[in-house]
Amino acid sequence: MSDQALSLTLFTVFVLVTLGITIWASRQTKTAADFYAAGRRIHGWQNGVAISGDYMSAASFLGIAGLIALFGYDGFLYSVGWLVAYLTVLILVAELLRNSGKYTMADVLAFRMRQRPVRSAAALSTVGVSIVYLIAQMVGAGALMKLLLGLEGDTAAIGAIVGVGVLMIVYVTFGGMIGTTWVQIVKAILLMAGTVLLSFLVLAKFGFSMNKMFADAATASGKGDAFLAPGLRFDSTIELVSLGLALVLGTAGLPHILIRFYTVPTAQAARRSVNWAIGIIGSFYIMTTFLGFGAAALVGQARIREADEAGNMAGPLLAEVIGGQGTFGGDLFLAFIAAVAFATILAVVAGLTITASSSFAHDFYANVIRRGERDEAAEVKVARMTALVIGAIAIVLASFARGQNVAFLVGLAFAVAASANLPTILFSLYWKRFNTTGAVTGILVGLVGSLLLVVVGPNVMGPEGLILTGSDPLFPLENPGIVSIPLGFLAAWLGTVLSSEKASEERYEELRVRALTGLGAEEAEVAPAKAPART
Amino acid sequence: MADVRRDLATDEAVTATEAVGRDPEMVELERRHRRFVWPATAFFLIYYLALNVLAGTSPDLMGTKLFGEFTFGYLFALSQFVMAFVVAWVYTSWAKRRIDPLAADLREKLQHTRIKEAGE
Repeated sequence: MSDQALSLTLFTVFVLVTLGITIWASRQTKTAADFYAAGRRIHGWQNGVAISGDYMSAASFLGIAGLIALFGYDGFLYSVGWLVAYLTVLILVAELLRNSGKYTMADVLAFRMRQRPVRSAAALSTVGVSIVYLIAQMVGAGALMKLLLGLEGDTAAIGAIVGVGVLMIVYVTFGGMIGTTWVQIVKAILLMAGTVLLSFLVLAKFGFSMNKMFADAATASGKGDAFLAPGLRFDSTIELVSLGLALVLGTAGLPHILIRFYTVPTAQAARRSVNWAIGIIGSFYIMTTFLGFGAAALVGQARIREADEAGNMAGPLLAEVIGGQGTFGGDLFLAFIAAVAFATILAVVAGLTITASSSFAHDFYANVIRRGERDEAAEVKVARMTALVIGAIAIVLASFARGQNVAFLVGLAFAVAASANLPTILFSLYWKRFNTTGAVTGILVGLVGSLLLVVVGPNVMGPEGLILTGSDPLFPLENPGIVSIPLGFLAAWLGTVLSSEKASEERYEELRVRALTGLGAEEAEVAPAKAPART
Repeated sequence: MADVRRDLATDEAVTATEAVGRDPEMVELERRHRRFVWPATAFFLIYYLALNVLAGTSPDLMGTKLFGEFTFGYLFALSQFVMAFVVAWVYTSWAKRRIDPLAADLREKLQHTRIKEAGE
């Protein structure tokens, strides 16, 4: 049996066992069925683990390790931003959101605005953010399959993305609805176990001396001490601040993370779940140090670049080297870490797809097209169709985005989320005058603005990009956050003050009472969707 | 308070909540919340952005080795994790002490009002 075949067989076994555990676990738990609908019985710690599972995607596991392995210090900045982002969630959003919403991100907006326009806009941005996020996951999954199958060339790379993308979407759409939460939990445990093990073995290789690991990584990189300092990936302060803003503000605008807070019974449980997530995610991101610098020192950049130009395969290759390249141990460990990465991606794809399709079905189809008339069968059918369409779009776009680093791509999704969703969420919760016009313009300008700036930026346009390679990019920054996030806030504010619409201040006050005290929050579940006072 | 109730007499829940919205305890709860969350947000955003600003403006400072191979930049990045853990802990204990009891009080009070109104 060749190395390749052995790795692949072991990988398949690991993946099947993981899916088996997921299905078994979801059958053991009766509450899993009503998890998304009405449960709200999930313990804070369980939700914290599930949030971690939803959050730590291919970007965290494959992308950051790759960026650190190739560029040293700069890659670690992603780890920091993605953790600190949870303070925004904890302090400004989680508890108030828990008390004022029902099923989707749009509920908080619909509470005090006119339903149809805000739900349409929120569904659109939920789908938009999710697609950008999905592209990154598909790119990661494609690179993984390419490595395991030993494929070479562009056609094979596209084939790997399409194959694995279709597989995931089919799993999520037809088999995985009930198991999604358990995919998150099983995956979070697997990912943490795999990362702790890998980190421990890396440290052991250096005689448990981080000094030696840093020194060896710096030497192996050929960059010397510059590898341990900023500047190899980012040389512009504006670019760094733009990225930083997107990372630290994006999480609080991610629909698939926000809806997790509806699964717990109280604001206190929401707070506890963020604290659990901060503990788990924080420990994980600190360990990316070992994955990244370890791979730089032990695998070497040439081999990492050969497997994937953007470094996405640094972690799995590190596992192969640690286990002993060309030995059974190496194949086994590579297969194990690849399976962990695959479970990681599957869980995130599941969370994103379900969030986006249920938002489209619930916010747009049921509330806007059917005007609130109940037809559950049709709603589920629409959700499934949406999942397929979103998956297909993500697969097509991912085959263009291959060769990009996964963490970088997810950074873009964060910029879109921070620009389109965060201004509206914050104004809804904290600004009395905010009205429907402001909410809709804020979401649309933030969404279109951030996407457009990416399209005319250096990654899509210009010599390094995909189109118009002859001309210079119209926008100089890779991550648009520093422009598009203020733009989203500005549009939401301008839309509000320029429109003649009068905000429903009574509804605002009711929202504040409900959000801060939890009063009436339980009733929100069964009360008929009541249109706010028309003005 | 009676006027408020008459204005919104269509829905008891709204009426009762609205009444609590002007309650001194609710005003106090709002004040406490506002006074904590905005300064805390400003603090962690500034502390966090300082890392990226320094990475852009002073790569030499960030690359200075403080002990062994540990650079100032890496230690500053690690301190962000400590900062996040500490801020989360401070927020949580503050909320338990200053928000939760007051919020529970208010909720209790309003539920009584609502039951009374439903009985009228």
